Amino acid sequence: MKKEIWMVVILVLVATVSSGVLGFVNVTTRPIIKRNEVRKLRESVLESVNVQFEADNLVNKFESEFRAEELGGKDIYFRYDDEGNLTGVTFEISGSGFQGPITAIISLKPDLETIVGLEILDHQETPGLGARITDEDFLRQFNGKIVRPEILVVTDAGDEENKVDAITGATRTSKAIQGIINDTLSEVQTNILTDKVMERFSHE
Amino acid sequence: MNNTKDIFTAGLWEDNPVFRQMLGLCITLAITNKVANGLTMGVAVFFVLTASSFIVSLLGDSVPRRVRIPVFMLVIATFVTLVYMFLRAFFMPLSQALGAYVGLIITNCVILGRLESFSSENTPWDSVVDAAGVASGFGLALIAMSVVRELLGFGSLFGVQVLGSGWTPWVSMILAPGGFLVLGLLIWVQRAISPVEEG
Amino acid sequence: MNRLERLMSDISSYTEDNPYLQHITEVIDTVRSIVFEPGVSADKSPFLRDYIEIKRYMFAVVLAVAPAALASIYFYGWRALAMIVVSYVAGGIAEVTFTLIRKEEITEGFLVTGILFPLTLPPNTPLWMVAVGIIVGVILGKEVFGGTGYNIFNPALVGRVFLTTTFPVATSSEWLIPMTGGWAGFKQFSVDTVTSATPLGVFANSGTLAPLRDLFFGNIPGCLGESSALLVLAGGIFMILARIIDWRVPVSYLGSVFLYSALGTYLWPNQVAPPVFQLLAGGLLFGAIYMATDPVSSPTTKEAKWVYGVFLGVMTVSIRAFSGYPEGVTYSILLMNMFAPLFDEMVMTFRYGPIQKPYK
Repeated sequence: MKKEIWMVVILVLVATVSSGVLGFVNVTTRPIIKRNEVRKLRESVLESVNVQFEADNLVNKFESEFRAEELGGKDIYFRYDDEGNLTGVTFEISGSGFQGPITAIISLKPDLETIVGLEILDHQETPGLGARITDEDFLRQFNGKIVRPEILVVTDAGDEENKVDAITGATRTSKAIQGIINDTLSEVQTNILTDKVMERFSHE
Repeated sequence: MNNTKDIFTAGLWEDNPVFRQMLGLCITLAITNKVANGLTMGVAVFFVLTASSFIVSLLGDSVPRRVRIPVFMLVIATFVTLVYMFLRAFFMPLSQALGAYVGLIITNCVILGRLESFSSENTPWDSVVDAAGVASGFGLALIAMSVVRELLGFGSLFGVQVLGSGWTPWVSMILAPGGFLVLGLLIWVQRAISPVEEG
Repeated sequence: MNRLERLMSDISSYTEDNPYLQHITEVIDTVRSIVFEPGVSADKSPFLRDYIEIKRYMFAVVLAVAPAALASIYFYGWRALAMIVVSYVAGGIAEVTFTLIRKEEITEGFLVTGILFPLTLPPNTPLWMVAVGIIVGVILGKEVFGGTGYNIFNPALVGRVFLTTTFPVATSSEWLIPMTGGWAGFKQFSVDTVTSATPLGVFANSGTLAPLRDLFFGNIPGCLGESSALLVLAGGIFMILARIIDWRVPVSYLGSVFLYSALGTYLWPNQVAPPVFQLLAGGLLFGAIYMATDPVSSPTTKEAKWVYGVFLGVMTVSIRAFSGYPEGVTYSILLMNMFAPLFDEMVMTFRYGPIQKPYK
């Protein structure tokens, strides 16, 4: 009998100490972790519209350039010019890559078809092959391309306005990017954004 | 086993967890394609193993045998979660590169194995020395593998190009097959240097 | 006994007795054994340790592959020969190093691997990659298993797979267009007209089929040895007639490719290419004749050879049609190499009942 009680006591003790320590560390590190994530997101959003920023003016820059709004459970960042006209829409897109999920930031013109910029937030693709989706050379290709009827990532893109060159040796990852852009875009266009953007166009 | 040096070198070389005991191979194969990843993982395992060894050896006989595994797991999980939060807070890129594998240190049999077979039955000092030896052996294996793989796979070490910009990357070295090949070859080398006694 | 054979035998016994010519007896005997050895082939792996048999086998294969090798020079210039030489030198060094460390005799097995390996590579493979590939093939494909006769996988294909997975850009994104007409490649060192895909790749991307005539004579981009179906077939027929290889493996392999793709092209016309195209394009003929018949890594019993060939065919067509790779011969053969001993054991069990293992 004494043995059983001792067993329970030990387990409870160890568990209490453990959760106490973890709770404390969690409280201390959570703000830092959160700040890291927000920072990364804001950097990517700014990079996707090619706005220069310094590490110390990131927050100001971001807040002066974008107005965040939650629509249909999705954070959407709207960008206006000095007269208050809508000049761009930025949001997060995600889907499965070749090795794991890929999340990216895409910026569009208010027509919701012309790509202003693309930035990869997170991915698990093969280093040296699929991971080259984060290369500037690959991402810059998307600038100015038009998603109509859909974007195509192909071996020999030429100058066509809806095609970009795939990464040699990483066809699957390239196709994954193509799929993520097309799928998310059509969903966001039809379900969340079109009405909203149209509304703003006519009002402002 | 009372000699401190013997305890340490056994874990480091003769009973190396990766090359001899073939433990913790999942992590070894998965994250050794860059030296920075290998080193971080080595340090993380070193911290988790020595710290939990110390705690478990302090607890010693006061833990009833029937609940020892839950207690060990709790101790390990605590330290692993600490490392996980620490990396995410202060080393964001590394934590992203290591992905789920930091969390999976909990299931690394190198650690549970040492707690079960050594720390729970030895003094805190011996346990810490043993843990440090085994963890260093594990780190040695990780670093050896990742040096070969990053050098061939990227032509770089710690991300610094050392083999010249004309180096053709050996892509398979970065992928899973390279992990298996390099592991096999290094086990070959380790056993050629100090052969296994048969029998 | 015909006259030539008698003459050879006379020369041989003459040189044997002559103190000055003694040392060339072995060469004469080798030639004799290649030409006149009775066409009985042992059907167990251990024969590979038999000196005469292995020599006869190896030289005949090299002889049979020579036309395809010459054709590769014709199509792609003398660089093709350079690739073969590099393969022999680098692989030879690896082989000799291991035999010296192990204190074994040098076997001729390498003569075959050394020439087959470069012929499975794209013609613009950098020479240093050829060296890396053959060294990996010899060491990881053969020596780690204990040397010639003990290897599970075909060493040349192990080297090839290592190269294609390690250097995917260099080994599969660019192909050379072969030269034809007149002396073509015999007059120059290398070819530099580049294209992006082989006939199989073109079919996988766009569904366009290359003309069968070109596939048959070799006017198509591809790996060195596989270009000309005609010469590969000629080598195969020579080896079958000389009883160097068993006809069952190539016949069942090619037959199952034909049947499966005939059915497949009817059911899934967009994915599966028609049968004759499948047979002539890519490395299928080369693989079926020179690789799948490798005496060490393929099954030894007749029934197992049939099963082995059928599985190879199904797998090759499946990989070509339904995977991300346009070609599947190498992977099929390596995968089936693993099953070869199992097939043999099943056949033996059927024939003689459960096999008594000498060990527990």
